[in-house]
Amino acid sequence: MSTGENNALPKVALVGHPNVGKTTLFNQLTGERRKVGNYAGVTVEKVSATIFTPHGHQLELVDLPGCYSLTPESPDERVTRDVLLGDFAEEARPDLIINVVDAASLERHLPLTLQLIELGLPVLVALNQVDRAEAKGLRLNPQVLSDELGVPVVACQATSGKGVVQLKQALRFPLPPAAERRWKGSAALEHAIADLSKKLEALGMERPEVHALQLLGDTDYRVKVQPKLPREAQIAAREAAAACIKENLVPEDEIIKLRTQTIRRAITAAAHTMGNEGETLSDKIDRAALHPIGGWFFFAAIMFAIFWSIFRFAEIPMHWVELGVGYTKDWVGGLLPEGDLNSLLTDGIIEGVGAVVIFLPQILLLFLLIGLLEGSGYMSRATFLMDKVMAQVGLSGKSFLPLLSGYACAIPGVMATRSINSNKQRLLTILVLPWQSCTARLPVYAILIPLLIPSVLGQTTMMFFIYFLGTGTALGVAWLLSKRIGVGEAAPHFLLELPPYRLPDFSYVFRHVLDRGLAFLRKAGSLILGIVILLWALGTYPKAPSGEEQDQFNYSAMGRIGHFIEPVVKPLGWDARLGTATLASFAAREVFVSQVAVSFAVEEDEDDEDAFRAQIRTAMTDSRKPDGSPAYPPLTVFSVLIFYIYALQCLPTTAVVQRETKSWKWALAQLAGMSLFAYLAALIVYQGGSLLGF
Amino acid sequence: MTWISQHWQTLAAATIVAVTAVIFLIRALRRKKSSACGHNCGCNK
Ligand SMILES: Nc1nc2c(ncn2[C@@H]2O[C@H](COP(=O)(O)OP(=O)(O)O)[C@@H](O)[C@H]2O)c(=O)[nH]1
Repeated sequence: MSTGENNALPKVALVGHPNVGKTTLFNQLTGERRKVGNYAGVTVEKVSATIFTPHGHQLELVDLPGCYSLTPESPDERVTRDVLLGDFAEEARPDLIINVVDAASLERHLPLTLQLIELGLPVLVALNQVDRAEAKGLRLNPQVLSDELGVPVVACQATSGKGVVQLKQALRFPLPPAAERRWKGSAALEHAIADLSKKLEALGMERPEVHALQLLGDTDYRVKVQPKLPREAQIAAREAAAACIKENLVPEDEIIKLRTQTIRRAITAAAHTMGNEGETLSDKIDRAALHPIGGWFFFAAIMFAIFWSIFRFAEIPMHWVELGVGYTKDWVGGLLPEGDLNSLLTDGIIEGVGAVVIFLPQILLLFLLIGLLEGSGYMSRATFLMDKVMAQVGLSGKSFLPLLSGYACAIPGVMATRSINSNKQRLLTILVLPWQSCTARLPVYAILIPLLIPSVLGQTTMMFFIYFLGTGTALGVAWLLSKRIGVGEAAPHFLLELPPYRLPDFSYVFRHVLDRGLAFLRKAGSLILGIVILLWALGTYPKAPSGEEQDQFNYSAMGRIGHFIEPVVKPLGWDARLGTATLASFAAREVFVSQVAVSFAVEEDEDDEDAFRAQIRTAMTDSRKPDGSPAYPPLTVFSVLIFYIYALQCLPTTAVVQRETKSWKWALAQLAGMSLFAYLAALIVYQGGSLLGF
Repeated sequence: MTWISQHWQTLAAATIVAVTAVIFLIRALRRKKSSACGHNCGCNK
């Protein structure tokens, strides 16, 4: 084992024009550790560091002095050339070159790249400053560039560290094969090169072909005194050049011409400017879809369409599910005489599982739309647009759509977070998503809000406030949590990473939709079924003495717990009835309505929901405390409302979160955390309101 | 007659509840033991 002797380590050299971002990239790759020395015999600084590949191999990374070409104009540039040619006795030739180029001006940078490729060393192109290129309206395709140049190309932005990981990954062993010259000269030129190589080889020079090319392509190298080059080599080269010129062939001009042609071809294939010829259909669509202002309208329109469909379109099949559940209930109920099993099957299982399955249409529709967006390529654009916005609160651009669908139902929203790449951002999105006000809360709001505000305008404002509060809290908490769990600031995407628009692969989309739908049904048929059965048991046992049906709930475990927790909910301004109704609605929020109805002995009227709600409200308004004051003053109602805005009262969501995070810890932490948050918020509202005299 | 059928239903319902509770219990216990795939090992994708 070598003991930190850098000479023994594989050597990687950063080569590029001055100011291209080499130092910045060097710092990114090394974590700002550097060793500064001098190249032997010259006053040129040598900057190097030892780094590790992702697989743990050690490497020496050298930042060679910036140079515009391998035809040096200064001592710095000469060092670079001589090290790369392997003529620097004290300095080993690198095993790999990372050529840093400026994506914004490829024409200026690729000549050096071609020269490096001609050195017969493995070359890796770091296409830097892609952000600036894109800001200039330049569209690049690194893959095509890589095909044209015959070497790997990694797009990066040294200032943000983007692409550095990919660059490091490209450094793994075995190193890429040596690059090969990309052009073929005329027969005379090729002959001259081959001939000179042979002579140099006979002189005992290493890398004869590399030197031959350098000697023929660079007049200075051939004529001026080169301390690191044998004089005989220069003499042989001058003879070769003279022979060429006799045949009307100036080798250096010819070589430059061939390189320029190669570069032009590569640039035409791999880059084009927006609005110019060569613009693809994709680019044309993007000019509208990613327009600084128009793009947002486009985005808003698509999101609105999705939102509208999962709300309105899904309503139709949801109604069918509802009807189906009703029929099944009647049918099963009719098969059996009254009794426990009947009640378990109808009121427990069918009703409970049905209340979850009803969201299946929304899930299928959402995944169908997501599949189409993803398949068509627009999803990447939406993410690209939203990334910067969502990053403000530590979320990803891909968090947007799940959060949006959370307004319909948290379950499809949670399931839609799968596309988020970062595990932390995905978890964060899942954790705050149930604060988006879902449709299951609407029946509760429909009871409570009119108790607070009679006017329709006021009620509408209140609804807006509710949505705003939920979303605001979700984003605020995401921001706070992102600081704690350390969601690193992700670098923005490059446009070049956006796939072109295309027709979605429909069979793939449908299979995906089917897959998600089945996954949801499996959950409903297993864990959620179990939860529903246990909840039924909690509301049924122990049984009231026969003949006291009305009191069954108070006898049951759930009712008893409700009474037991009365002291806990009292500071919120609630009585035992609100306490039990809220407790029962932890299974699903809608239960609140039926539970309150039961506790006030209001008969449920399936045909006239409005009248049913009005009856409940009248019962609540008329209800008095023992001292004669209203049992449910506005402040109490408001505190209930706040609780329902914040609490995660939906066990199916918890079950799906468990499935998606594969962790009961997070699922239960979310349940407990949100409930506690809801409790504290309701507490602050009620106690604060009381102090203020409401 | 009715009494018998009601009694039968009570038993059946109680059995279903009991079986469900036992399954939950077993699964909760089993999960504790085999926690090979822990927290953020990246396998939750
Ligand atoms: N916009 C942008 N600027 C960059 C990027 N990489 C480097 N720079 C800037 O370019 C300038 C030159 O960078 P430096 O690393 O000193 O270049 P060097 O001379 O090649 O070592 C600095 O101001 C950097 O901040 C990039 O990817 N994007």
